[in-house]
Amino acid sequence: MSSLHLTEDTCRRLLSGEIHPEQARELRRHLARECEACEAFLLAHPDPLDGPVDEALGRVAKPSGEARGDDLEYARIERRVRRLAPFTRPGLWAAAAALLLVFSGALVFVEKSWRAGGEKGQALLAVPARLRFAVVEPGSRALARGESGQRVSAEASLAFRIEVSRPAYLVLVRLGEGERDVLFRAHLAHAGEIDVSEGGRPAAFPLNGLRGLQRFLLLASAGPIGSSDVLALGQGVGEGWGAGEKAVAVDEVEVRVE
Amino acid sequence: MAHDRANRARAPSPDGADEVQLVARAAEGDGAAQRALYERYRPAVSRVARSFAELDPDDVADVVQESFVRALRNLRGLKNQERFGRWILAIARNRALTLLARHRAAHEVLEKLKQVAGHAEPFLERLDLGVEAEHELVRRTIAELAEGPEKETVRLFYVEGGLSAREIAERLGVGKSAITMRLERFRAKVKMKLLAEVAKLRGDESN
Repeated sequence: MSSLHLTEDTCRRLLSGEIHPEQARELRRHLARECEACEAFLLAHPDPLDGPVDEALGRVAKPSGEARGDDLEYARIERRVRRLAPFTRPGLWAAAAALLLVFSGALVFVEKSWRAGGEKGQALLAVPARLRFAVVEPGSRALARGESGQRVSAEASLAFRIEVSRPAYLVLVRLGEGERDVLFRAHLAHAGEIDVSEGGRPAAFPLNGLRGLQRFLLLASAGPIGSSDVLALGQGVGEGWGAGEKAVAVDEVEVRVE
Repeated sequence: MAHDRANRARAPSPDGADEVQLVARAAEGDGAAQRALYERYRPAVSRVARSFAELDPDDVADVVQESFVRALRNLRGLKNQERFGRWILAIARNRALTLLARHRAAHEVLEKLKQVAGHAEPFLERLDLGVEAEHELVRRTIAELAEGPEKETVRLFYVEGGLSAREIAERLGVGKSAITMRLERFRAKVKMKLLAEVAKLRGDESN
């Protein structure tokens, strides 16, 4: 009967419905005998039954007031969930996009600057890139071109647009208050622009809950940018770093949240 | 009594919307709906974390926060919105096990989790014995436990519900890992009965 013991494959076929009905009946008889080996298997293997089982177990207990949570905890959750929230009004993004387009034309200068300042091999791998932003005021259609270093309200959100001169892997990172958040990752297969988006929709980054200097760094490279590259941020910002395939270019904007 | 509890689990949310509507609104960024989901599922998510006695209160808070952040951020990807409850509980368990693995330095647990993570939702969609049947299955599993420390632990945690596994360990004067193991063993028994029910359904499909 050992062939009837639960295995990952048996569980998978049982749950997906691929199991033969006769084998299902044998398995049911086997499990009804409270097989210790199968119990040990289930004990050691996280599986898709975990959610349903915990949901069923949760219905047995008496309600516990202690576990209800509070406003403070939810505020922390909300702040993180809304870090990158899709626009709720499509027209707003169209206006933001139009506003951002006003600033075209500076990328050539950025690329030239980079090549002049970087080592030759790295310069070809680190993709010249430009990060721009608009400030989205809450509760209105007011939009304003963002200028690095400006003061902004904690009620506002920031919309970002990225421009690259060659195909590139991109990462947008926030640094502030000792935190380091990766806000956005993308691969742009051709030179051009991309709007920071969430779930396929243009997104704005809410500043609520943040205070003080917030730096937003765009990393761009011809090769994939790994976590170690992001962790290396902090030194040499604005100049690019890395070697060989890992050479990364950086553009940066910053705001002071009040 | 059992019927009342089962109904309570599917009762309308605090703002009166049903589960699917609530999740749909939350997925569209409705703050009130997201808060309602938090209010509704916070106790169950916390319970999953509190079943691991090795996790301290800070760890439990981490599990709760991370679970809701991940769930609310990824709501648009949830295909079956009426399964939100079991989905976020699975997220919570994964997070709790991640923290536990850090405590135990047992990386193989994480590897197992990664293997099943990508398949969880399709399987979940096919698993629905009904609230009443699942509740009865849990109640029966508790009733069949032999009188002793394991049953007492299960009673304190899953029936009385007021104590965390860590607090139960202190009350019973037993090591934290022993309490975690008792609760996990009980969950494995429930899982086994649930699988037997699924096997029954699969076996009946050809009749």
